[in-house]
Amino acid sequence: MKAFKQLYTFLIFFAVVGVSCTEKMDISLDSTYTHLVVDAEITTDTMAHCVHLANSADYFYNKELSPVTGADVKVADGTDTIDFTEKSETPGYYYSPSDFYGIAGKTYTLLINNVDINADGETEKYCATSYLPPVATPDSINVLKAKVSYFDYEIMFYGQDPADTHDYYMFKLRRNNVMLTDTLTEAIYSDDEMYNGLYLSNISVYSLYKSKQDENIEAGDTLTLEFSGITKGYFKFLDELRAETQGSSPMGGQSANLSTNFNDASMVSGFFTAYSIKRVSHIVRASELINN
Amino acid sequence: MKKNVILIFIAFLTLFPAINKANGENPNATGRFTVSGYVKDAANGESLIGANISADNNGTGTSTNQYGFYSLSLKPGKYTIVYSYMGYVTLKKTIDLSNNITQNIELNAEEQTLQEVTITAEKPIQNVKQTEMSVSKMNMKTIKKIPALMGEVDLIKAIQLLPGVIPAAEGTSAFCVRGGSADQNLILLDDATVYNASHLMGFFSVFNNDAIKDLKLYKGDIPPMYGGRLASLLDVNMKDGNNKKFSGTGGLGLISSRLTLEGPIIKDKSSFIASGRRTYADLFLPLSSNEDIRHNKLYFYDINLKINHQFNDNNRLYLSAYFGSDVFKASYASMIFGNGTFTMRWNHLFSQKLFSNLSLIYSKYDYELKMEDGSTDFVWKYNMQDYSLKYDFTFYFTPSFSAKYGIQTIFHKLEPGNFDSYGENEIHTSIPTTSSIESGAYLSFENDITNKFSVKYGVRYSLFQNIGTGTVYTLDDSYEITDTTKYPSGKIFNHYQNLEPRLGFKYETGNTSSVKGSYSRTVQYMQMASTSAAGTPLDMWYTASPNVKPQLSDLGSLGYFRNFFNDQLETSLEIYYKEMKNVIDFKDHASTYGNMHLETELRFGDAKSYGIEMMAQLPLNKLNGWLSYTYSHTERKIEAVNNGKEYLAPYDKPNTVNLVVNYDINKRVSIGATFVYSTGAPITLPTGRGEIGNVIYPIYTDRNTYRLPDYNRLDLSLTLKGKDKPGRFWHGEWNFSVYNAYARKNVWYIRFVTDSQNPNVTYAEKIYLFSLIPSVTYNFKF
Repeated sequence: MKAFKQLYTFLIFFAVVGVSCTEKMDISLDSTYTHLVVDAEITTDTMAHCVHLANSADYFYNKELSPVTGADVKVADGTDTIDFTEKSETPGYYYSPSDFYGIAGKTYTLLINNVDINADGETEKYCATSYLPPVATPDSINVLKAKVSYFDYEIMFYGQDPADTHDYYMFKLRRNNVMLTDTLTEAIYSDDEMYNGLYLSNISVYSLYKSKQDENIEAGDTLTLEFSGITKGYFKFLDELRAETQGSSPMGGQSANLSTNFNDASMVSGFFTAYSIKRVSHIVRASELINN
Repeated sequence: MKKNVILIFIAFLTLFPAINKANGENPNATGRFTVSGYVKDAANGESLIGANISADNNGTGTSTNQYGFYSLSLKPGKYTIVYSYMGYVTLKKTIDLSNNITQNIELNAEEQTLQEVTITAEKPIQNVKQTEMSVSKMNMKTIKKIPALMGEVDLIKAIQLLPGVIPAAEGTSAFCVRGGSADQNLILLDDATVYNASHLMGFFSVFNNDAIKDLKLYKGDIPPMYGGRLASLLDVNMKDGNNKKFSGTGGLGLISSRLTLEGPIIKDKSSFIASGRRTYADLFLPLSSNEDIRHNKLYFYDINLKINHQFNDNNRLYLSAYFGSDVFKASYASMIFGNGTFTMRWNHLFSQKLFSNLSLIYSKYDYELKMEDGSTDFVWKYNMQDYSLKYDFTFYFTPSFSAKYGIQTIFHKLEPGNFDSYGENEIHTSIPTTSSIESGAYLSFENDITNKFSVKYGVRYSLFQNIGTGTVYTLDDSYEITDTTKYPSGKIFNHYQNLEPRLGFKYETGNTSSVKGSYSRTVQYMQMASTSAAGTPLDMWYTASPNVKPQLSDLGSLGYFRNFFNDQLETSLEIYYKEMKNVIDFKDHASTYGNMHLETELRFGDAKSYGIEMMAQLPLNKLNGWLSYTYSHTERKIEAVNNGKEYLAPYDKPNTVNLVVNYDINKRVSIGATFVYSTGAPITLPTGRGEIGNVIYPIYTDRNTYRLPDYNRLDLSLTLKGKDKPGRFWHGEWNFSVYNAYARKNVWYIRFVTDSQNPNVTYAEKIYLFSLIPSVTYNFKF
């Protein structure tokens, strides 16, 4: 159930670029004015949710982005407003109370005040809104040895796609509670255009490579799939993020800025996302492993 | 309104032949008799295109048309008619013109020692005398002298060495002419449209030189007979086939091999030609450093077939066909794409002054992708077909006045995507088929007003109709779909019509120099959905519709042509200015592949382009070649792209220099070199960085404000001919060539990579396609 488009560009890329060569090159790039970079997520889990604010930097800054401190960060759900407080040991990271959780079906608005990104002495306000989509309960997952040679294991998914909605999904994987998809571009995302209303059985949602140490599963490991319902806007954002950070080629499209759901795209970069998570686990059996 | 125009044209078509038949025996209204016929090669019967026929060197003359036919109507009297063609011995025939005469001519090729690399097929002075401008003819001998890549000289690689023709990117045969995108070139093979002329990797186009007789590239000044593309016309004609004796030619190389067989079916009356070519590029894949691709398959083939028959002096029939395919197979995926064309053409002489050709044409392009994603198989198919009828007439009033008129209609059927998925769930979806009819009618005249001043003027009327079954989405200002309307089969639910004037003049400022100018308007109703500059074999074509207006182009050009040193050195200088309307680009991060609602991704605006093209040709005996320089600037302005500000088109190239040289050391050995330089293509590079979910991502300012490093490359070749013993029927030669002789790593693209050790660090990588590539080919002829 991987995004079909990816396979397309992958194929073309492979056919031609498979025979091309790469070499590191020195290049000097211009600078642009500072943008506010926002990485904000609200999920249905009960935990301290995080909003990360930072200043954009030169492309070859090559360090962690400098944090935006002292901002006033709140999330409103139409009735209540939740304060996100900055922890002194992690400047730029603002946390909700640890008992807060998002509710599927609600619409949340992130409000950021008291920042001065353009350093003109006057503070600015930014906001973004996201609906928190519900997600159907997955039935189960399974591990299979891959039938093709380019990866080793596949995580197979069983569940029903609701017929009456356009659904967008995101898949993340944990092994023994350690997140394997720790960078956002490793997450798998999909729409239900091909599968709307169908019961999905034996659909591959994730691939594992034995050669990666953290993906070299062993008997007794608990694999947990985090199955999330995301908005169409976030689905597009994930697609753009992948296009802009991987697989650039003259065969691909023109480079452009990632879309954002903040009110001022000229000053703010990033995304505020709200999504539901349901989990389903599987304990790896010895019979499912590839023997060396 | 359109009905009336069509009626007028039909009346025109039927009246002319009637008038002419009546005047068969007597001198016609202007008191002239006509000498006409066909000019052919004496050795193999191939008709000669663009051969010159003049009467007593008094300036009156004509040239043979695409089928080798000529017609001269002169006042009664004695004339010495001179028949000449570059590379052939001139023939003179004295006639007493007191009646209409049919005179078919065969010219003998000049001795092989005088092999000349020329661009124009006529004598050099013709460059100055013709009214046509912005057009380049290349004869096959010229193309074969250019250093070959992988042992074969490719036709499209050769025209990319002409001024004003810019390669869209390395790795493809796509090219851009005067600010037009790669899909704005009309590529015809024996009158049939070729939609994708590139084979994989871009070294080879679909044209097998051994089957081709002639090609003409119009960079502007496209004759009214042709329409449907904005920027250029590449008109490729297949050989007819040796109608005197059985012969063959071919080559064996490291990467590809080819064989052509031709011969008479009935001597001097009918003949055939069959050509085949196949590459086995996968031979070198096992040497790749990339383990994944060692077992892949990568090959393509081309087959050309043609039969022609001459019933009598007035009727000739040609049947041509081409089909070819590229195949790429990996362990988990396969891709096949290919073109197919079929043309039936009937030449009919209504009289010695009225030549006609009726063509029935079929053309298709399709591809199929298969992927195995673990437990599921996906199949994606794309298909497009054209069914076309074309009826063209040329009326030769006098040597200084002729008219061309005709009609054309094409039925386009596009199936943009059929998708099937086979796994636990079987899924079948498809993007709706679209059908449309593109028609045209034209009338044009060529008039030599004085000995020095000629004009041509004409107009093309074009009509485009969307025909059901069809689905039209109503879009609001933000390109969201607000409504859907479905139309039943056969219903015409939308149309566009345009008048396309085409004008040109030539004024001879001296014996060896002339000034030429032209203006043309062209309209395009069908384009490719490519988000990249060069396009890919998987791009889909889409047509004008209620949401997509036809693209328009107005082009003005002015040129100065001069020959020096007794016509030994031909030079030309042309400048052009072009404005384009309803130009199409895509919104940021548009999704084109398999998109059910492609029109929501399109954005519209204007573009303009201007440039200078200069060329100097040396058609000398032993040392020949040419040097060309092009300056070209193209920019677009499209709302919702680059914040509505002007930006450079992806093929804006300020400077391009091409040098092609060939030197015959002696009768058996010749060496050649090609040097190419061009400014790097525009590219958008980041000016800042952000971070989300532990991923560093780029922030951009404006589009296409950077450039890739400049491109330059040197190709060399050495040809060794076998000893030419008299009576020996087998001729062979060895060709050694090297592409990119100094192994420059020309940047194909730049990408940014995150360091695997330190995720905060990014660095730039250049991707380059080809380093030094040597090849050896053995070519033979019998």
